[in-house]
Amino acid sequence: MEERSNLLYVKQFLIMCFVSSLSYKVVMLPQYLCKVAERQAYLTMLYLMTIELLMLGIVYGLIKKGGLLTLNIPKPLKKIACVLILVSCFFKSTTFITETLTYVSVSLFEYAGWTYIILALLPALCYLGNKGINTISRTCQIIFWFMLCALLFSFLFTQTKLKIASLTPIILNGTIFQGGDKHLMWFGDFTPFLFATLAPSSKKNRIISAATMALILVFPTFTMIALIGNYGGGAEFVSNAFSKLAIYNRISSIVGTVDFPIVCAWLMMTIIKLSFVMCGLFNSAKYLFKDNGWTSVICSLALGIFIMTVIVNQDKAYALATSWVRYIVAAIEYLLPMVIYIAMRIYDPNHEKFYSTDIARNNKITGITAEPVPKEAS
Amino acid sequence: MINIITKKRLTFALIIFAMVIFETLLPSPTLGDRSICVGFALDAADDGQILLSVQVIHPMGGNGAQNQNEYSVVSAKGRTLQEAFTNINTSMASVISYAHSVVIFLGNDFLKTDIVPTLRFMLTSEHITDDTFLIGCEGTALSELSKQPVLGECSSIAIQSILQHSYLEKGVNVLTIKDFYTNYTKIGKCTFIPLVKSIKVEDGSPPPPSSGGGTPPEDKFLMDVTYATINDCKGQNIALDKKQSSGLSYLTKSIKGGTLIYTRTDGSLTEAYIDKSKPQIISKKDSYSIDIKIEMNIKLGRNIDGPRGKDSLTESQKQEIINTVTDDITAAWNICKSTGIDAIQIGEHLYSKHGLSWKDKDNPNYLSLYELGNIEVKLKFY
Repeated sequence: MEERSNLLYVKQFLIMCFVSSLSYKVVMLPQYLCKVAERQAYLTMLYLMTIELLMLGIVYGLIKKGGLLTLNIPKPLKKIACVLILVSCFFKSTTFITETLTYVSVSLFEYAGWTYIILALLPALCYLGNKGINTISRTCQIIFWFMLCALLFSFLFTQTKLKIASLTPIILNGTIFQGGDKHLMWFGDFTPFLFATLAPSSKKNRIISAATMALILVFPTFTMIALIGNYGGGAEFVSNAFSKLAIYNRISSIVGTVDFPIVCAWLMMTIIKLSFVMCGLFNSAKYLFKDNGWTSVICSLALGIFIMTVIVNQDKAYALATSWVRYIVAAIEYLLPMVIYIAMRIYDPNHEKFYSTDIARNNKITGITAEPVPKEAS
Repeated sequence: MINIITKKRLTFALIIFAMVIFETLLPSPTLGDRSICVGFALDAADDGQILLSVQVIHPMGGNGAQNQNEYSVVSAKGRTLQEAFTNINTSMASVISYAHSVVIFLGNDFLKTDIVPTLRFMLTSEHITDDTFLIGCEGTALSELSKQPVLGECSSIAIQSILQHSYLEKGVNVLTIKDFYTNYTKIGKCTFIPLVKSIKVEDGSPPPPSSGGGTPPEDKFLMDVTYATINDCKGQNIALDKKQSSGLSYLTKSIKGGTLIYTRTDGSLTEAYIDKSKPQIISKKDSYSIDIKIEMNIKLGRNIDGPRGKDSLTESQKQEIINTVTDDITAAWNICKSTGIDAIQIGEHLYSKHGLSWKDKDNPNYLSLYELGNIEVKLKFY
């Protein structure tokens, strides 16, 4: 059951990577980066995205072998890894949920308090997160085309005055790295993938993988370039970058301050991303405590109570996300996959690749259509 | 199995219930309780406060049969724009929605104050669109907002329509909230603002009888937006004449449209149509001379004698067109230099091109150091 709920096919994995990487890098983060790195902020985004992609490569290598829980490494090491992922996912969830709450309560509704929104949001996130990465990625596959159409719609109907001169001169100074250092919390969100198991890919998928990786790098960087090119020095006052950029379309005088296609697409991406991070939280808690749905409910309640009583507003969430906590989270996100990979090479050097058909054959699981097994595996 | 299905359905129903209940819990005014602001005006009140006037339409008001809307203008004061908004909201019987505001009129007195905090508030506000047009006024913004245009239902909609259709034309210097802040955060920390001049239209109809009731016909106005002001965002606001406004438009944007009137050597006025014009500012490191290069595609007017085409003009006639453009650019440069307001964004160009090697970045009077060098106007005829 566990294997089925966390089974991923390569296409699902790639879509999840794209959505997971993009969703919260186009909201408040561009504004925060511009405050520190000013017109060089797009370089900050570029180098941090490059590091994130390298880290994704390690995660990919791990889950291709079957993921954290199926590896033959010492149990205490697995437990430590789960504790660390739990901590990281908790703080990441806090940061991302508060951003969503702020956007919905400030930009979408006139009189929406956080309480009402969190009441609607948490049950859905708890449900999806508890169902596992497989359910989340299938949901992601369903909405992917809508997201793509919304992005395409905004791109085709846009009428911005992009001034490339606003991006120059390129001065490689410390502010670029300061911007990256301060906002580490928004990068490297792939540890929940460690609980997933990846089916092997064909050569065709490898080409798609390369294209997706390029898109993951390009999209957030392009958003930064578009924001700075449009607003220049004023970019540091622009919250919700994706929404603000989307309103520069030909129908903005009719639709007002909200561009609904892009907002709908972003909200869907948000649900996917948040449930993905919370899935990491739930899986860790289930491994450490008890493997049932109540563990997920308790984790969700704890998160909700923490946000409503300790975080309270966006400023406090930002203060927490940029405090020393960011170093702990970044260390977990970037170093843990490497440590597990090394542990795998030491304790389980002959670990074979995982094949989805094995699950169907051995565990008699129905309802999964396995991808064709490559020749060398048969 | 049944238990699992029932459990799943129950969970699903609970999630849907939570989402529905969320919507119903939100206090949400009905359409009848709302007014939609289509534009607003900002003036400096005598007591140092901001006078905010909003032009609102009530969705449930007006004459639906004749497809006419009912517009009204209401005003309130406040020490900040937020306070003025609050005062208006609390004095009206309906909730005003500002998301559809299309134009913001800025009074002459208001433009002579520190306008940056007010405009920053607008940029960060989630209720005002960043591409809302800004337009300056010769007198008070309230009087411009209240004027009835010849075409269009109200002044805000009329101005929006004019600016949307003519934003690429020569002489029209369009500015939005976003553009204002982009300009302000450049090296020069200043901006230009388009200016509206209303021209009263005499319709020639007989005056109403002195007795017998009835309301006199309302005065109607044409809105000329081919003027501009330059503003240092610290209280200095200089109105430009038509020539300077035209020169500013040559230097700050790509033009697609507009008529170029020039005087021929025999004293007669002739016209040419600008199909396309693109400016280029050229500077050399450690040189205090700025060259301007303009590439311009021209369509000749109908009152050119003889065949029309690229070979139909003599060299002297071509020079007349070039002189007209050069004069406008020089006029815009001179007013910017004499006032120290870098509305052309020369400083931004120098910093963008030369980076930290540009030594005068931190000199607030850098524009006075520079001279206008060669103006090269490259004409291409159709």
